[in-house]
Amino acid sequence: MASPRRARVETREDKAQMSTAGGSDLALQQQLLDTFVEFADTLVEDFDVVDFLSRLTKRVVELDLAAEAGILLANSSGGLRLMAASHERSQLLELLQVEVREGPCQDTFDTGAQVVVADLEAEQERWPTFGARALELGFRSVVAVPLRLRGDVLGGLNLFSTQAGDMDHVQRSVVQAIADVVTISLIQYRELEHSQSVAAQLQHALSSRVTIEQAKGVLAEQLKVSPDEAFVLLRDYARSTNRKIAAAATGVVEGTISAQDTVRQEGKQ
Amino acid sequence: MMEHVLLSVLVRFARTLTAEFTSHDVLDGLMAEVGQVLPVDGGGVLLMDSAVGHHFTSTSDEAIRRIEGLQVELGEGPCLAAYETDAGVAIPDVGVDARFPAFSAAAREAGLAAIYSFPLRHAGGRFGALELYAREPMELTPAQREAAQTIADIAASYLIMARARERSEAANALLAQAALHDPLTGLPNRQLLHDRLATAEDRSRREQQPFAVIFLDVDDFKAVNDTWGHEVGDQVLVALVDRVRKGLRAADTLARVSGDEFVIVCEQIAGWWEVEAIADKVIAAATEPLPVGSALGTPIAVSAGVAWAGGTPGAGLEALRRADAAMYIAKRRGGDQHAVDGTSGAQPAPSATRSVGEGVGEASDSEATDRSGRGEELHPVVAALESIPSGSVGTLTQRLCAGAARRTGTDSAGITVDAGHGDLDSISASQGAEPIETLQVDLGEGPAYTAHRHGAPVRAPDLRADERWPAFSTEATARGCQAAFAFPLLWGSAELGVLTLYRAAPGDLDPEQQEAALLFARLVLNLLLAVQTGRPAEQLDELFGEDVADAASVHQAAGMVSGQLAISVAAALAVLRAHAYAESGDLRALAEDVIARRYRFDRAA
Repeated sequence: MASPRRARVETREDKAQMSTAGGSDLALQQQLLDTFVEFADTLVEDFDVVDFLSRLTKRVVELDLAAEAGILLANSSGGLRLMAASHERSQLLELLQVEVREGPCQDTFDTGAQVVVADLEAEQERWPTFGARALELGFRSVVAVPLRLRGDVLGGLNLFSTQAGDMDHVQRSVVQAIADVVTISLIQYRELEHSQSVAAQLQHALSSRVTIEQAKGVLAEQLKVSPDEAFVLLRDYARSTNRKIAAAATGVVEGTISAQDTVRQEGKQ
Repeated sequence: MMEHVLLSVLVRFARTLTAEFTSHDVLDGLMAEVGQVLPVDGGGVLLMDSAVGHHFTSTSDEAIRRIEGLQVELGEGPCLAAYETDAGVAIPDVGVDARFPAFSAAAREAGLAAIYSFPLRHAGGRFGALELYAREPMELTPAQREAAQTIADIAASYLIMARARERSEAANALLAQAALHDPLTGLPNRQLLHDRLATAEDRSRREQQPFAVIFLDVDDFKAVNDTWGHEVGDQVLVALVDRVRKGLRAADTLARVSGDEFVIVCEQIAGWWEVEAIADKVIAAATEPLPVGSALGTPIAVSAGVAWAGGTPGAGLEALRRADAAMYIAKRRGGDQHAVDGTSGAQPAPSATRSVGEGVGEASDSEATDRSGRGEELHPVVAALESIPSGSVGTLTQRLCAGAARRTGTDSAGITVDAGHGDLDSISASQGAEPIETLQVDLGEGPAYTAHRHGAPVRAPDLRADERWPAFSTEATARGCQAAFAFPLLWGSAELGVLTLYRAAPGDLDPEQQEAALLFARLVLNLLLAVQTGRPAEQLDELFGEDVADAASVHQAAGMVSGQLAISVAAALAVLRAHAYAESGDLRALAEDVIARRYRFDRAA
């Protein structure tokens, strides 16, 4: 049962998705507003944190703030791990994993400050492995924004662009606000039985991500599809059967949901 | 223009709320932001709890708080109207307002001239309203009203989040204490005990250390209750708990599971003797006269049952059941003593011989009890391995053996598994090792057998001079093998098999090679367990001191390999890990090759 307000938001969201890059400043701001309203709205319900964060990274791309985006979270031993990405294809995953050892996200995590690289070509020696790999994949600039929680940093939001160039002041603050929404969603994420520390929640969210990677692999192998397509199948299956993505992934990994089930569901839509 | 201002409001909102925010934080932020964006002098929020008719207000000043309260008392006003009708209410000038006569009069007296109210909406309903005031009459433009409603919408969502969290935190804190502890003694109850047992299983799996469960029961407690009444009975229990506690170490958990039954979970134990010592200490403490009532002169006694558990899920509960049964044996023997469960297959050896980095313990034929004859339950390993299409694990273990030899500076290696009744079966060997492995199996003697029997590594750096296995040594040296090193594949008290390394020339393993061999033995053990049970016994990345096990690509690759080999994903992870170690050592690179379909594991050889 959707509230009138929700319906209104969705109409605007459609409009936002249809408008192309290079629209007026005002249109962009309207889209951003709608995005924030939509996010706040989602977080009220019992939301799917994986779906939410993957939608959020996609929205960052739709808003033309980046060509691709990813979220890395710190695990219990302080290492950064992939939590969500706008594109599930393995190239970006690989790049984000290079990030785990060196890169803007690691720096933003260490310092708690935004890291902006307007031109990767000019700063190749800063992160030799990451820089070279990012350029090879066609990225020219990178922004990493900390996920802040009081004095702590939980991880980072990474934005990759195919063009060189810095963000203006407004864009930077918008991107930070989106990162803050990620933090809020992680605080709101109450999958665990008892009230747990944020650290325990992060670990839990990351382990659900691990299961999702495994399920993507199972589907990719058995259906001969790409990891990106496998994720879409998994997500659509979860939505149409009213499950969380992590729960559907567990089913696939444990064999209670067969690869064919996810395709059949797709056919029904 | 309005969009830009609103956006900065939302940006600021998001920032303020990245603490674990309370409803007050949200309301304070809301008031502050509204004052910046719109030409108003103040505002307030009215929250209605329709179920109980309570209301709660938050305002920028005291006069407004009174006016808001007044609306509830009068049963009329813009805030109530917005809340009830789900639409914004505008009173640009209270002087000419006819809708809320009583309220408008009071508002004018308080110095307010214009009032705008906006519903706070959630899930198709309302739970309150946002009210804005000005001291002069004024008209808000439609754009300004829309902005106010947007802020109200966002604030509403955050408020709901904060309230839900506050409620669940308060409830959880209360419930957690009440639900998990025994009210009389304050000890963990049965439910929390189960939780602790599960934690102990996890730790046991991680650290490859068994743990113990002690079941305690007061001897003839019914007589205490019958003679002195339940009140004295309760006091006895409280006093007993005090004493028992003193005999425990920091790593022990004491729980009360029912009336006079208690359970101790002992972790991080150096050996079986330490747990029996704890049981005896507790029994001794109980027999000291308890200072409960002058009438109670006779000391009480307790009986204890001890059982062991490893890291498999459910092992803790199983041990609890066995400790309970052992406790009854102690009672049958007259009470005031402990009994050790005999069904779990003896006690585990001290842990020192098991962990990497602590040096290699040695078994000699004179020490330790004979450990053979407990292999029947392990037979499924062989069955499981055989059920896998030949070629996959076979090839893999063969590769593993070659890797083991390479990494330990030996010439060849083989894996034998327990085939029941303490017999060994050769399942895989690198080139050159097969004849020597077969030799041991045929003769029923050799370093692998000794390692298997004693559950400890065996070194034979010079077989020519070795007198332990005359037949084997003669035959092996005749076949060009002069040194052998055997490492048991031990999980808890269960022995799955042996990894044996062979050298053509005499010579000992240096400490680094020993460590590599131990690591390899654990890798093989985990692979066998993963294939048998669907999951490895421990977190393999901890073995390697690397931080790649939760890397996305490794898991994606494991999902693919599980399909290629028709095994579980957890087993596929162990396969990937073992393969990477045997080949290149770079797990991540292997995973990326699998994902890119540059490498695949095949069921056929």
